[in-house]
Amino acid sequence: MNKQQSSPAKHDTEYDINKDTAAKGHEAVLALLSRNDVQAYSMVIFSLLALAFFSIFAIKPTLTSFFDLQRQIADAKMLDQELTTKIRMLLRVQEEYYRIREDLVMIDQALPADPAFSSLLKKIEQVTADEQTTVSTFTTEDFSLLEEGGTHMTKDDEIGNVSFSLETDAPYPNSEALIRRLLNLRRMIFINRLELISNERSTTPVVQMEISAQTFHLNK
Amino acid sequence: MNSKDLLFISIVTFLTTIAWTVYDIYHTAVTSTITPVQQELIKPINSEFDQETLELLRTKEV
Repeated sequence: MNKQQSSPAKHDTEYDINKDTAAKGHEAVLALLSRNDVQAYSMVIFSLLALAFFSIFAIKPTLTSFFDLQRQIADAKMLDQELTTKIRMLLRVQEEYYRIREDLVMIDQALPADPAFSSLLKKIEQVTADEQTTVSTFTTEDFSLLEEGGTHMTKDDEIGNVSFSLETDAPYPNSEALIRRLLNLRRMIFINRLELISNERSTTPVVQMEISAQTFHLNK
Repeated sequence: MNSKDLLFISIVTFLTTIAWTVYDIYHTAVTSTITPVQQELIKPINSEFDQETLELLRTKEV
């Protein structure tokens, strides 16, 4: 019962103390703010903080959007100009393509899409017959005529190659003519090694010729 | 902490904010908005065919 009576009195006392403290604090703040130097410092500090706040939340987003839009407009103009130039170039290429369309088959003959080795073999046979040279040996390296895609190449290679060797027996002029014709074929042939062997003991002017060459094709 | 300290902190905060804003604006202004796909599209192409090679091939035996 005593406890219940003393509690509101204690509460009132605490309230009075808090009130006194608040009043003292208020007076102290007023006294502090009445000083000229404190007023000046406070004004500068709060001005700077307000400017910083507005910089972050108002000025920065606005200016960023402005410059971003300007950049987008400049990039779009540049893109439009570049695409217009490219369209013009494509039209020129199209015209040029129609002009040389008939000749493009020559590129396919020089560098076919697959080894097309049988047609090359047929051509070599025809050339050797024309130049009256006897083929004693014909070998292919790393390539089988019976298997498809027998060339050595990786998927990343754009151009594959087929190596082959040829041995012929014929007089020197015929052998020379054979070489010239092989090098003049539209199908690309690169001669790696050429060896001419003449038999001094032989009565006939036959020259034995060994050719190591390779031909190329596209890797589709 | 006296008034001078508070003023110093305020100035540093203000300058940092200004520097941040300026950097952000500069970054926005210099960063391209063109995508990699668009860059690939605007790559120039060569409109010239190699006529010399075609002429050379024409002279070769089929």
